[in-house]
Amino acid sequence: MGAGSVEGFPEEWGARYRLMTAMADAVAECGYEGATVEEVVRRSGLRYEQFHKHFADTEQCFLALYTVSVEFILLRMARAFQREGDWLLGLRAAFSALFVCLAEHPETTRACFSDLSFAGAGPRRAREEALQRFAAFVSLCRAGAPCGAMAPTALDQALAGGLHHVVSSRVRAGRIDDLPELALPMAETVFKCFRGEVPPPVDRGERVARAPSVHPA
Amino acid sequence: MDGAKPKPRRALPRGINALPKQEVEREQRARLAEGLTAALTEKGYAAVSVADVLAKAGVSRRTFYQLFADKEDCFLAAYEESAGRLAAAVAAAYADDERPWPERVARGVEMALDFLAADPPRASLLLVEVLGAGPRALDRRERVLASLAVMFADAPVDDPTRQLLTEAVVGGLYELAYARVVKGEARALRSAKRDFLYVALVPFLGHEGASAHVDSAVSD
Repeated sequence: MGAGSVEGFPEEWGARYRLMTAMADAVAECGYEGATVEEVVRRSGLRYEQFHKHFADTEQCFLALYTVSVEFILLRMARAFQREGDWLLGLRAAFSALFVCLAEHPETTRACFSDLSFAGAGPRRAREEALQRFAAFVSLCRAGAPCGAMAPTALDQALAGGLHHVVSSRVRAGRIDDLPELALPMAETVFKCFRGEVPPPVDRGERVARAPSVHPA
Repeated sequence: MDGAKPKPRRALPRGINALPKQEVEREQRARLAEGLTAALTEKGYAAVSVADVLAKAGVSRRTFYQLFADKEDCFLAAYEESAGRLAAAVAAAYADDERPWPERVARGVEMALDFLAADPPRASLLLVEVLGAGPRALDRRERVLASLAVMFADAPVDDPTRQLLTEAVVGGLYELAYARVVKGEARALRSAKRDFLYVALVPFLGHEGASAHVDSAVSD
């Protein structure tokens, strides 16, 4: 993305979002180490002082980007889930929202998955908090599942971790475009943990791949 | 976290009893790997310096640079050594006999947890520090996780979904272990076998199947 462009947010949202977006682009292209204040300022098309009006340093800017991105994705997943009447359809819709969202914002996805690991204690904690929030989301989703009430909470944490691992290995391999195809199989993976019969996939024109159904319990 | 206290160091024999050069090198590499592992428990990868490693290992700076190009190189060697032992131990426990798949997984998972719980600084190196040690460390981490996936090669599941399911399960088990190790609770991994085994089995066997195997494996 060029200088001054704003990925995912309207330009009028202001300097803070421009800087965060420039941060995503800089990390995606130069790595976390290479995303200096100068680099972020240059890409944002703003002035150096404006950066420091919003952020003390690049880590703070990165953390803001990461936190907002997690919120944004969780909100989309929650809305997609709520629109469906059934927990399994809801789960599929939520995963579809997640993966489509990640693919639609490749710079942010690359910045948050492939380079976060170089980023010290702050980003490490942010990642842990994000995974806890995803675990809490899985926990809410599975409340309506056949075996949802019986599984240990460790399973929610493991599913969030598994999801993170699946996404980050694809991001690191440069396969962000493939992510939407994972929506249905990943939803089925979660589903298998709360075992029941999987109805055939519903073709609703979503960008999801058809996956083989599971054997009934 | 414990394990940070320096161990008493035995001087390498000199003169007529001197060890062959290769053996000296191996011993020094092992000391440096241990030194780095101990130093990491105090500061974390980004803040640890070569001087910290030397202080823990009791090895000269000259020797360090004869063996390793830099801190990253030393980290990768330490990681490979520990990860290789973990992967080999898990593979051996898993493939030990002709028992049914869930029992073999139980042994593999148990072996991994015991390995990590036995040495918290090493567990931290393997699970936590590797995330902050650069792209080459992350590549190696992915290879190690892929090698642990051997435990799911015989899982009862359709082949098209096997790979994704396995990736998710391995990533999930990693996260469960990471969450304890990062809090300095590596030793508690031993008492968390139920959760780990349940997570390893439930995608393949369902809730009831997994619960039954967990009950029999953990009460053994």
